[in-house]
Amino acid sequence: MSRAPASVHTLVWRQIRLPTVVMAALVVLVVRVGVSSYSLSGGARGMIALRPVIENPAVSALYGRVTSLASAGAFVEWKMGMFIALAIAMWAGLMATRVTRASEDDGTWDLLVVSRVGRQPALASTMMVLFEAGVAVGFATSLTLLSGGQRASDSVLYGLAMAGVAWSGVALGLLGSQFFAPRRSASQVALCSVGSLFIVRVLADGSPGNVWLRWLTPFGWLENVGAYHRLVTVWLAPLLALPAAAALLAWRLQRTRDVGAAWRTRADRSRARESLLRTPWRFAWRERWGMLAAWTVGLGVLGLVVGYLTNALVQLCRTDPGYVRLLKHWGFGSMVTGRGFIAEACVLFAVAISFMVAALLVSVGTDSYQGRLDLPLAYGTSRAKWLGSGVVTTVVATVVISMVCALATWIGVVVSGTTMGLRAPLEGMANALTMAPWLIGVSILLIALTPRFSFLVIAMMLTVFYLDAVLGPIMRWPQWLLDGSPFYHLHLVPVVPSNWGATLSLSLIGVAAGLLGLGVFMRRDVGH
Amino acid sequence: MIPALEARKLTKDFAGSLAVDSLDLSVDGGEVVGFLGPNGAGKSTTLRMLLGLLRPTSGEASILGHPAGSAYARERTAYVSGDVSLWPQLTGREAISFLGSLHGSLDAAYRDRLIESFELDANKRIRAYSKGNRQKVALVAAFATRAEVLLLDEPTSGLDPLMERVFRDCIIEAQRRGQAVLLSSHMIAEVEHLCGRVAMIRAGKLVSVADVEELRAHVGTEFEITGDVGDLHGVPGVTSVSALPDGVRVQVVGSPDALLRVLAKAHVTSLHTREASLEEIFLSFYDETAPRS
Repeated sequence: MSRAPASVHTLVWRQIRLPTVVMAALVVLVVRVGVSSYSLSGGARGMIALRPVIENPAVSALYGRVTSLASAGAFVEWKMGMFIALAIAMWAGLMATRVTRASEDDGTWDLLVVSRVGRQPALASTMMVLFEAGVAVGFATSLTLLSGGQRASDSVLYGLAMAGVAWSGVALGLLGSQFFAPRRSASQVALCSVGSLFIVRVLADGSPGNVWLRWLTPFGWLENVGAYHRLVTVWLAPLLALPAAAALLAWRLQRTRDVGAAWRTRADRSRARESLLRTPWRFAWRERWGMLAAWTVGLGVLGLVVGYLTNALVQLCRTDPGYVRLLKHWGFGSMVTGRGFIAEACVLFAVAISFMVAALLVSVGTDSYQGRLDLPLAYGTSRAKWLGSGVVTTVVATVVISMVCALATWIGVVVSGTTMGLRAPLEGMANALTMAPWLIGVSILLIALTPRFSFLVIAMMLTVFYLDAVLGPIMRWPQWLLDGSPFYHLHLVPVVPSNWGATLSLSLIGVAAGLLGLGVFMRRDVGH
Repeated sequence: MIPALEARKLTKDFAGSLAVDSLDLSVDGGEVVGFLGPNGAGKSTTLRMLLGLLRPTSGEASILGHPAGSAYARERTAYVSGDVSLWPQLTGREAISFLGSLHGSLDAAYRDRLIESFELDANKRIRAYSKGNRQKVALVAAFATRAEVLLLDEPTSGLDPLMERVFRDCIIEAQRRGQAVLLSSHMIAEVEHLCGRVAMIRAGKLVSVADVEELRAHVGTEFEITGDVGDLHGVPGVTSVSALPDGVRVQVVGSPDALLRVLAKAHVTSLHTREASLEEIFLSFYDETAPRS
């Protein structure tokens, strides 16, 4: 590699090294916990009770099909593998749009193109870094499984397959960047494509007649590799070759378009619609409506799917005492009834809603560090009003979308043939909302302290807290560690009443953090 | 009379890096004051403190007697930065309308006239605008609000010469209406044309605030004399003498009376005088190697 592309290589690595380290660390944590919980559940013998579970179509749709749980590696692949793969593909897609489309949006790509590096070598170096980042995450997966005593050949191949999934996400991000601008559009397309490919896998595993659908998606290829039970290495070929081919296509497409432009351009002209521009409060809605629509659809579909699973799981619990024992062992004993399953689902929805709250709020911080807040503040609006508009919009939207999610869940439950009133999911979602004051307060504080990294910090915090609440009791972590997670204090409503004491304490922490954050936000330098 | 904007001992320290150091400045209504300085001198930092976007480390900034950043001050201020950042999904007209709504008032007829004068296609989305067109959006919004105080930070960067002329007309109209303008610019000709007073800043410190004419007097007048004039060193008022092929070039600060008396006794074939341009004044302040009076 000549010196100039090497400089690009270093530059791109600097841009993505932190997210790569974070992603690899999360993968290591989740895989490590999976390996430990396998042995805590009694190893291969303890998994016998799961036999009917893994054969259940609804469970297969969610987790994927597996023929054996004879090793911790197989257990990790089945219980966590698909979700790790989904997270890796999304992360990879976002990284790809960040170093390609975002660089074109902000003009930094121009500097590389006009330098002696040139356009095509610059993109080639960028792609190389993205593929290396994928390999790094795959390597982290392999290493964690190997250190957990799993078979070397399967661990290496499974890590390689995960790298292939990352490459698929990279390829989708690269193609999205060629066809769409600005970065937000390219990222949305990349993420929707990853989500669609995951749904194809869900459909493939949901019914034996649909198995051929696995051939159409990287998640299916990952499953077909079958590490730890029936290794079929040939499926590594599409996982590694097709993303490389897609990247080559993106590389060629770049040559045929203008720098900064995209193949598909949206209309740049529009009639002025000023009704949502008259106050910061109205503008806050206008700025977020696209995101709100996406979250409403996403959580609505999730609610429907989870609600639809209720009947299958309840029936399974009625017929299989071994499965009930295992659920109890994992701390999911309430899932044996329909209401209990919905209560557990609402805790899961609380996690999703928390991410939504963070995503809606951090745009205040983004506006600040990207300089968009200068003019509104100079033209008469106050910092408190701007922040307040974002908070009020987020609160209202969160309540409405939570209720939509509850309604969708109830529809799913009813369609699955279970009798349940609408009140149960409504109460469960209302309970999930008790976390909102804490989260909003902490988010305000982080936006005020570090607007540029606020979402990253909140996302990491939520992930760690959720893992703490779910895995801590199984792993017998110390009580003080469990108490530190707000999710741990969420009661399983409607099975038991809300934990009002914890809600009050968390709300007070939220109010204190929010007031402190408001104070910092009012005094901090804008644009720094 | 309360100044339209005032900075008293304004200081900003960014974690040990002193960006602005005890700056004193005031601008009255109907006055256009130029704000000159090299890159990193502290111009934008000063303006952002006057807007309340940055908190002064010490000192005070006020708009019409009210603290900078207060509701009263914000409602009477409009701002244009050198690198306008707006929401890419809005059209130009929507962005102008939004900023007008935040300000509380917008002269719609003037807005339409400005859109026409600046030849702005206001129905395009911000993301499709060039830098110059984004600049036009911010300028139209600022002028259309008829704000009492205009804080302009490199407002014409990216504008073509024709549009710069439109901008100058807008400033002249604003001045006629009694609006106060603080104009930070690298376009020295623009400042020379528009500003009655000029403030010069270097390394965060204000080095001069004076009328353009006073500044000229500070640098002096240049005389190009051909003929046999003898040695002019030591003549009162003469600050520098340099040889020309058939004469000399001398710089005179203050009255040229003494020089003229000497020349009256010499054999002079031609004499040309030239006043220093603002650019030369600027360079005399900032170029460490330039001769100082």
